Amino acid sequence: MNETDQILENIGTTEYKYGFVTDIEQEFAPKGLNEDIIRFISEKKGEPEWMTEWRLKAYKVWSRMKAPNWAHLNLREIDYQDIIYYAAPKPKEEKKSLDEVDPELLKTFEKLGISLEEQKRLSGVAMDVVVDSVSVKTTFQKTLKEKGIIFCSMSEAIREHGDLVRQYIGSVVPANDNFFAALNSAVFSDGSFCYIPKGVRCPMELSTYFRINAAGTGQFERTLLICDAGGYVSYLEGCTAPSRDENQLHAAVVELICMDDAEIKYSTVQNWYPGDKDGKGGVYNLVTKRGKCQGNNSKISWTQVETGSAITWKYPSCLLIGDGAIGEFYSVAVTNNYQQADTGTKMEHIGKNTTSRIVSKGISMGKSSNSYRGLVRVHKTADNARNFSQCDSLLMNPSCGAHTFPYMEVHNKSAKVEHEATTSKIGDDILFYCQQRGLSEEQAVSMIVNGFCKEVMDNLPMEFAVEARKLLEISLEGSVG
Amino acid sequence: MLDIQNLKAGINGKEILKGLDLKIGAGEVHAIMGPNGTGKSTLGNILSGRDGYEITDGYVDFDGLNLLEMDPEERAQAGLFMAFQYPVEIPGVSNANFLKSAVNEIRKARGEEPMPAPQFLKLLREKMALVEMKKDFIGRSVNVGFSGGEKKRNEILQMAVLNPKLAILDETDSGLDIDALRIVANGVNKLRTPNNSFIVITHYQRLLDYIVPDFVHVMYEGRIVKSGDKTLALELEAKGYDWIKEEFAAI
Amino acid sequence: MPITQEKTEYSLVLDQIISSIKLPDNIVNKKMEALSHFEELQFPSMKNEEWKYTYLRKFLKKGFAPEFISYDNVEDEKIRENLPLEADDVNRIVLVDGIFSPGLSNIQASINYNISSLSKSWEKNITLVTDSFAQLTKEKNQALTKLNTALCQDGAFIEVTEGHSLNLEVIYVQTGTKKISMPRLNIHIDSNAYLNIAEQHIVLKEGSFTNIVTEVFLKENSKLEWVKIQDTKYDSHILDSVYVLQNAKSKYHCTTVSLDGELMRNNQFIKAIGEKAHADLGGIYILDGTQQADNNIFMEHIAPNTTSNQLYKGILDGQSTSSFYGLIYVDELAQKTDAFQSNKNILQSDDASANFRPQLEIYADDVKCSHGATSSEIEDHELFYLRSRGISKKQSKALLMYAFVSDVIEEILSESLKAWVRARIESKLKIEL
Repeated sequence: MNETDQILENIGTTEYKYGFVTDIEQEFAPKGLNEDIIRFISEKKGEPEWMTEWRLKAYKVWSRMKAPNWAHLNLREIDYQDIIYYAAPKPKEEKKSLDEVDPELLKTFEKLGISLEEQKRLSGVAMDVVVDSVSVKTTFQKTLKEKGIIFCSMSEAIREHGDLVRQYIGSVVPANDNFFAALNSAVFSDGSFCYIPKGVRCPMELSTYFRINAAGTGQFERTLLICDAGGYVSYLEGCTAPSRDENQLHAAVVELICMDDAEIKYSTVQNWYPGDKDGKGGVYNLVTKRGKCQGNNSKISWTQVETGSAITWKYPSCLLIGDGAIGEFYSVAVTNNYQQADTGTKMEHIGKNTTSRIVSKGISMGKSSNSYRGLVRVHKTADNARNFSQCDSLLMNPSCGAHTFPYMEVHNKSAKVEHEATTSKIGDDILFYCQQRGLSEEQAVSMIVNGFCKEVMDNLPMEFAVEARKLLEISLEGSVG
Repeated sequence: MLDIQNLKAGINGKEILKGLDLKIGAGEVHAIMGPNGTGKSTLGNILSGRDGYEITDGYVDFDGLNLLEMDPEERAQAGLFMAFQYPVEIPGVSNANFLKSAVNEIRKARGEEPMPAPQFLKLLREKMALVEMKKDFIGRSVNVGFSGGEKKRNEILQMAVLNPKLAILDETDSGLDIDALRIVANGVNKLRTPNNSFIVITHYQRLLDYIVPDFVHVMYEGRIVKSGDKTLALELEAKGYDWIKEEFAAI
Repeated sequence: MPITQEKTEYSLVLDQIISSIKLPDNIVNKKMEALSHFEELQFPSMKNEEWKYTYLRKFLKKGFAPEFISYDNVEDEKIRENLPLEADDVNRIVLVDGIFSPGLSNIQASINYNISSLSKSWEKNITLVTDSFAQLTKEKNQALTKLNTALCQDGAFIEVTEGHSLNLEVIYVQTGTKKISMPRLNIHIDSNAYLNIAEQHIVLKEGSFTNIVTEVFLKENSKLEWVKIQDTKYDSHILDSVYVLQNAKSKYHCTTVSLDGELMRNNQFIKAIGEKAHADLGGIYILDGTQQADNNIFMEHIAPNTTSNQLYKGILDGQSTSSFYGLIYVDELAQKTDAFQSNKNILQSDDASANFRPQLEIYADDVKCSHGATSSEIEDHELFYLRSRGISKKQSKALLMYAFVSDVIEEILSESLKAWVRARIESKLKIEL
């Protein structure tokens, strides 16, 4: 076995670092899904009547839909009646400060390397933590309140800011959008809500941490983010799950709305449990994320680093409706062993002078499969639309797959659409060049991979970039000396 | 031949030319100098009819024609030529075919018969010798794979073949080594007649050693702020543009 | 014959074919098998990913259907005056509504090659033809190809023997019968042999729809250069599918030029199974009105060290539509594959639409694959440069369009084919040089 193979072998055997189970008291709904379960969830959360009705309507839509069939995903059939749709850490009492949070849970975060205290102190990141679909704690409430910013759990938002939620929920991702969005609309248990008022720049990064903990649960969180005219917010989302043999389902919905001159930067580091070396277990990450650039000169930027999940199916998209709206998608997806990632974006150019930029970097190892799938559609109305897409794949060994499936539809002559894609392995000549300059092969590989992902990494906020780099390093572990 | 009166123009709402006056008589060579961003190239673009500029005021008379009302090809047919700073590449279209098209379109506009092919080839060969172009040039695609110097020589060759009344040379000297500069200048000098006029836009006095101007104008902030004879260029070379700026600021 | 409850219109056509000519058993079996496949698949709808941008059923609704075409219904003299002049030392095959016309074709006898009508070669039971028939098309689930396999009545068998070369003209004539014609070509190029094809369509009146299928077998170190021009006077519909099997060191070079026609859909299924096989695919489409041109390329690299290059360029005006689907598939075994793909479009009208899907599906790591795709307008500064030389706006645009597609033309190897394409495009763009 030569050195490269050895390195790659090591990479393949690096175990999932975040796989541990937290022993917190949990409260479950019975397994399965029917109207009663939905009423149970809604009641548990003390929701108003309109919300219950909205859920039931979504359930009706979902029950008429068929689970999709994808060419490049090998998805085991999911028994939707064998899933627990609601699992909450048992509330002992209302918690007023971080000290009152279950110490077990705090330990969990420490293991994750995201000590809340630390984060609070060092980076001033306001954080909402969602464990098994229920929001546990939102920090920094007061500072945000002064600015008029609402940042709270979805459940609280439904209770306290019902009008806002009612106006916008489902306005970007309607319940009938797709099978998983419909399911989420029916059963979502919590998530984060954020409203940035007119002209307010959110002074700190807002962050939500998701974790699936209980066995046999599905996590269906729902995020709704509204940035009013001239506002700005940078939002971070992190995800982990413990190692379990069975496949856990994660079907989230994220909706963003951006008014005139507003900007939302949405960053994700996804590190759900990917399953073990032989492809057993792992999270099915089937997520619908979409942003609406409603206002003129609004901007939505998605950045994601995806290293986890057995299956990832996710296309953070932008509807560029306002004139001069900008949509961006920056993605790094790393797959190993038997992981399957099918990710990309949709850019719908509707307004005049709209611009979009897509940078996607896929790294495939083991026997994994890594696909980019994207659509750029320039509608007839979108004069002077501009799009540039760059999709690159790096193949790290002979038995993985890397695919690129872009769709482009142009219906306006003044549009400029450009797409480029490459697939290659790390060139022997580059490796040799690095080695000749004194780097070990491992260092060289790590350096080259980092360089390959740089444009995406550079888009992450500082606090997150550190974590994302660490994750990337873990994914490549064995190759870094 | 050319009379520019109080020309005001800009791009994307930003005014670049702020009331420019310039008169050019037959047979004269005018050099326009000045620091970067003063509107020299804009003037060339507007005279040759490039899209995208807003002309807010002024009048340009070209041999009795209202120049600003004309399409770019009508200006060329009327005898105006622009040597571009960045010539365009046209793959698949040979230099010979391209120039023949241009010559015959111009003749057609003037009510003349197309030039017979042998006569055209003879003319092309003659002018190629003038700018020292190699023989294979005829069949090569327009500017494709040309070096910077070759592209500039090609501009002069096109000028020689089309034989315009007024030629505008937009920084034709930029990026040229000394040999190419000599060839270009030589080409221009051979075309100077009592009927042909030139506007030479340049940063440096260097080119003016080879193409000796009758008049030198200094452009600053969208206007001609100083005019003189060829000694003005030497003065600028020695003193730089700062004194112009100071003088202008004092006004 | 299997017993069915009721005979479909398609199986009735097949019955007529079987009763009109003497077919070897294995051909009959292959045809029946293909027919049952087609009846399962039916004509594709837009839900089928490959037909996402092509509303085939809309075209079929104009009353086109597969019907039996008489073998002796070829009016030679009336057609002859519509055919282009014959060149020296070029063999010519003329297929009228899919039926081989001995009177209009011109084939010089030679030991260097064999050319004959496909139905004659079936009747003579030439095993090279009967064995290879449907060998390449069988594994692909293409409904229209299945339909052709089932209902093709005739076409041509072409074989170039070892070390020899052949220049060939293929002319498809459509008489406008509203019947879907199903020409079929069966091409074998032996080791070190070379075939050069100039293909065009002649349409005599409105109401033509043809569904052509070709199977090409390229032996070691053989070469096929093929130029297809689709430039028909009346609104015609051309579906053209080429299946190519490439052995070691073979070269396949095909350029498709779509200039006029209501629907021009070109499918290429290429399988490189021998080392160092190379495929070069070029395409030009210049469309107007409600015309549509589709190019679908399935380039499969199965053997190591194979290379391919795809270059497609289109100009769209009016309400025209184009669809480009180009797949580069690299098998696990196909290490050291080098594949490139490019599709560029210029839109001249807001009612025109360009759809493009360059796809990479890669299962080997030591490969170099890339693609690029763009859509844009003609650059203002380029247009200005030409106009500033006194050339009219219209002519300047035409020259720039010519320049835009010229690299596809320059890729054509044979000088005579290159000149042919150049002239057709110049006349389409009305370039006066």
